Amino acid sequence: MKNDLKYVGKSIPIHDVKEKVSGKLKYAADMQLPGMLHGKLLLSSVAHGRIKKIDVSKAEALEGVVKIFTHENSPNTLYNSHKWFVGMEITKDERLFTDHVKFVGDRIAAVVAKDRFTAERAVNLIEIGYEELSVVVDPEEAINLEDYYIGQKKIESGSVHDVFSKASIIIEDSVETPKIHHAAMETHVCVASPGIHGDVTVWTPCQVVFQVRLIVAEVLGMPLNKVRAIKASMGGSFGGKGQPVLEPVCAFLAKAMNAPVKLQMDRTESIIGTRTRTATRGTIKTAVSEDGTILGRDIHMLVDTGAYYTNGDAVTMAMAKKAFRLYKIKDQRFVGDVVYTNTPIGGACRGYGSPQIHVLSEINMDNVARRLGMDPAELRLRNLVHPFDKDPINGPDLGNARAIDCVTEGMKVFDWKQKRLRPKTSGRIVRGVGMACATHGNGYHGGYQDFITMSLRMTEDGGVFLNSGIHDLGCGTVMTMKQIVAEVLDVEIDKILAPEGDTLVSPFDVAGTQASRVTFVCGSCAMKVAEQVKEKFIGCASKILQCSPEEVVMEAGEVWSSTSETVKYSYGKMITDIQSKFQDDISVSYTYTSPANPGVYAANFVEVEVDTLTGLVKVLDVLAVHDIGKAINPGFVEGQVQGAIQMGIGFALSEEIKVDRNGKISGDKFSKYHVINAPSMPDVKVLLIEEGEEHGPFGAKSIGEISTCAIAPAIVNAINAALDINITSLPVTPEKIIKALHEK
Amino acid sequence: MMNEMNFKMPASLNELALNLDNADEKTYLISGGTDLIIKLREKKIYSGTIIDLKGIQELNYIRQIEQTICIGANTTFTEMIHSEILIKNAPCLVQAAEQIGSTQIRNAATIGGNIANAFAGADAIPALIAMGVKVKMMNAKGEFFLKDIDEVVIGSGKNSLHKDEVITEVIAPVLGHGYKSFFGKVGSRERVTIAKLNMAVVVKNNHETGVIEDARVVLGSLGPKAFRSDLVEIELVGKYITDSLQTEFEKALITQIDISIAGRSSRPYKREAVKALSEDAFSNLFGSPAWRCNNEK
Amino acid sequence: MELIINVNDIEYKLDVNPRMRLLDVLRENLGLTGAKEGCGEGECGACTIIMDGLAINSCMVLAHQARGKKIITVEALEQDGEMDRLQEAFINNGAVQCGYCTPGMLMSCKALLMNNPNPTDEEIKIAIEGNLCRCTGYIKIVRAVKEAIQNQ
Repeated sequence: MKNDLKYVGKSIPIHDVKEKVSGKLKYAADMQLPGMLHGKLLLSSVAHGRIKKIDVSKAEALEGVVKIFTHENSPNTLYNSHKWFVGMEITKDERLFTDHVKFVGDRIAAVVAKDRFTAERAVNLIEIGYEELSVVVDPEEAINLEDYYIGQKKIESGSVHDVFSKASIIIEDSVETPKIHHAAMETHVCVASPGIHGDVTVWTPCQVVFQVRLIVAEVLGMPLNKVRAIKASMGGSFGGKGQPVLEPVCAFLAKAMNAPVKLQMDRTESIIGTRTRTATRGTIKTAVSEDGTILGRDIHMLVDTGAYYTNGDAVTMAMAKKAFRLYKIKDQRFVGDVVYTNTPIGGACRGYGSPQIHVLSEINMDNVARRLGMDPAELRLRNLVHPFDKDPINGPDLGNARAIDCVTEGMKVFDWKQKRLRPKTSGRIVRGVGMACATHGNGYHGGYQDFITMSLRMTEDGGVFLNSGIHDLGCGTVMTMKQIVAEVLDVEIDKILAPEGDTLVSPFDVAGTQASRVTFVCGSCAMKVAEQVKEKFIGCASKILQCSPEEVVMEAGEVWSSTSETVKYSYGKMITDIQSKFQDDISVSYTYTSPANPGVYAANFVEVEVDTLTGLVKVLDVLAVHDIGKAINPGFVEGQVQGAIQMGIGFALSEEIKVDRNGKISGDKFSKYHVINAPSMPDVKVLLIEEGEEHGPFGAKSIGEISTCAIAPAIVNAINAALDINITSLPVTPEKIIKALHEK
Repeated sequence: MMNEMNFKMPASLNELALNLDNADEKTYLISGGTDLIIKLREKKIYSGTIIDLKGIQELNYIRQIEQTICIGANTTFTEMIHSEILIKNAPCLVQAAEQIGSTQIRNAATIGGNIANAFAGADAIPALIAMGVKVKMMNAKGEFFLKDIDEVVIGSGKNSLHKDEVITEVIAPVLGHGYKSFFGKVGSRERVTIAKLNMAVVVKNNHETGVIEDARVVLGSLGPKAFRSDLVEIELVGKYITDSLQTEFEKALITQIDISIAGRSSRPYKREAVKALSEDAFSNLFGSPAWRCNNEK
Repeated sequence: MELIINVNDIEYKLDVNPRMRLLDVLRENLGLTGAKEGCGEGECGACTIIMDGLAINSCMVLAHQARGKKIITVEALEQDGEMDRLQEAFINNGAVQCGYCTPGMLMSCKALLMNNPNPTDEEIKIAIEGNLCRCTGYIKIVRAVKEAIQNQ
């Protein structure tokens, strides 16, 4: 590894920034195709019921309406949109259109019309006769109902029973987390167009093009080769566009109409009718010694996956695994029960279970510290994992786990001890500090298949073409890959072309932008394929330069022999000469399989101000410390963290898709679902621990998901410490604070 | 079929009167647009007549004529915030305008529209009631008439205007020497938030005697529409400004909330949050009072 | 119904249904897709344009209401191939991630600087209080606006 890096470690703007600031970049909603029709979904207005009658006559009579589709005239293939590779076995319970609605927001029909206004208007004219069925929204109720109970996941290391039977100090907490909307500014949207060969092309802001291809093919009964999925410009996802929601519907409409169709959701539809962060109710018991050593821990999570299965068990397992990778706990048990409810569907959401498990464990850690009279940061330092520790449940090794560094460095920079011991104010406005830690992963190794193929070619004019199925979600994936390739080949960034996923032309990638695998796994593949191209290039160049490969120097787009520095070739000239002399192409296609899945670690420190009369909380200051290994692009890393903090503050304080007893949803638009806006956003300082990770490109690890895992519990801990209360139900609304102060 | 909506663009009040002549249940007046456009969609309104008031330049002004302030119905909240006349004479109205929606909303939304929309949590309405404004209206015959704001706003999204009537102006009295005013609100976040509770206060304080001679206290978001609270006002009138008055004021506000939303789940929160408004009102109107000295802030 | 509208200094004569919003006309009739629809209720600001010098949600105004007004959209920020200093600052400060809020954010900031060339941090935040962003946490956006002010 080079010590002085030229491209890696530099803050370079996202690859399409100029098109974005000029408004030129076309997102799927901006696409126009000749003869394009417009689809609009009809979503259920009742939470549970059978559809007895659908009357589309009035809607069909509306001028401009082309056709209306319901369960009566569409495929009834069962599928699970969570399935992302062919060999995955999973419960299938979703259909394009249902006759048995299971939540307010379930898909009943789609209108196809000549323009979207007509489509929207026609949807309102469809008359549905429901036979309403009993509604279950409470997971505690669901757990006892056969139709609603899905199953249990259980992991144990050592023996919890033994530890708890002997322990004298046990601290127990119950914590609730709500359903959350991803709130990407772009609502869900898809465009599909049929081809003349019985094929269909789907443009979608998605996270996994090969998953889109798979789900569309499965639902429509088509061969994979007849479906082309193209990743469209992404207006934000955060997991919300991970599972295909509109894609199979839109592809079906396009095929059925034999015309291009655009299908777009409005904000309310995106909030209720796509995916949400899975809601949880957790209980945790921690046995500790007087000196603050965790002796054992027993966790139970009740996981509400909503109306469809999707990733209910996978997200539960993800939560489980994290519980064993942050603190050294020999005896620990995780039991997760997964249930259906008649509420919006759970799915992937930035952190994938980590924010939920960490809210539970980190609020509890503070209560342990309170009980022992310890500094909560010191309590964590006593128990955090050390670099190169093993996973107690035989998961992948933790790697260069720098959790302790995150806390110790953070304490210094935040001035934690002094701020924490500052005398409490007794006036209306009260301040407090809190902190929390978190861990997350780097891909699927140890859980699922994790490999990606990339091909890289050096062009005749000194350019580089990196062909791969990557997806830039706005996080800078394309530029990250370019920086890695540029570093290996010492070529200018602008000379590298790195298009995004298109199943027709991209080499296969098994898992897409999921599981915090992109920098760690895909980035490693980019590095390896570039290294192999470099080796091939040097091998050929050495023959032309008549020297040994070791004597070939590649620098800033030029190549020469160290024995004859006066004769320098541009990369392009050398490629051309290699072509004419050896009839060979300097390109490599390489499949990289991830060999590891180390942990990433974070510690967040926050200061809050609470108005004890209104219960309004203002987050004043955030310090986010991250064990990143190596930041390929520090500007992107900082941007990821700052955005993740915004999301986490909302999770802690205001965001919630509320569902009442009857399954009716409130918080279904931005005027009622408050994401944090600019005046409420604190300054966020980002401190990176860059100690390198063996299998990461240039030592890099993930950041996109870990960055939102520690902030919510840190805020809750700060509020609880400031007010000497113990709120454990998110979001911590003003009403909850006032109630807690009253009950104090 | 998509062209069932008619659109009228009167450029003057005379033209507007003509447009109003045929007004019926399907006639919609639009000014800033921030409420009506949402309504068109939510209520699935596809046909009728929209009359756009925004092109009537003569409805856009803030002027002081001797002891009255006249605000044209098309005046936006942004214009109100920057009006020297209002800053000097109607601080509560400026404070309310500043806290409405976002910058973009304040740039578009108008005083006339806010009154006509009669939303229970509207921020301008409590301030207007506290100011004791009259609303000037015009009918299809071009006749003008005045009503108290309280008569115009029915609440819960309803107003008392007939279909052929339009709000043209808001007339506020210049409050005169010794008067002060305040508006405050509690929402679910700091900025861009719908009021859970809002309050406007207008008081006249006799500087020589130190006694409050007039008090109007208007509470919003406690029912279909904002209202003056007699029982709170009584606590203030004839009193000296002291620490204990603030306590009595707060107690009266809590009593008012207990009466207004008895049995509602929002009551426990609002009776606490109103203390914040009480405190803010007092410090805003009467300066940093002595009762704060006990705190270690 | 005929609509004559001035967008980015070009006068257009269009046939527009009275129910169409300015946003619809910009995007669908004029192909100016920089302004986005993120909520349709004036909460997210992705559709922000400048109308007669003020930032406006183009989803909250009917197209016909924009007759006779001067509309500026993000597409006109770049003049003669030269980017506006706000655009440059957004690029230099990493204020852009997914980019969906960016056009609206830029127009809110542009309107701010047109009316107040030297805003405080507080004023910048209030200018964009109606522009939601899920990617950046606003921090680099505010930083970019401050840099643009300094580069005037």
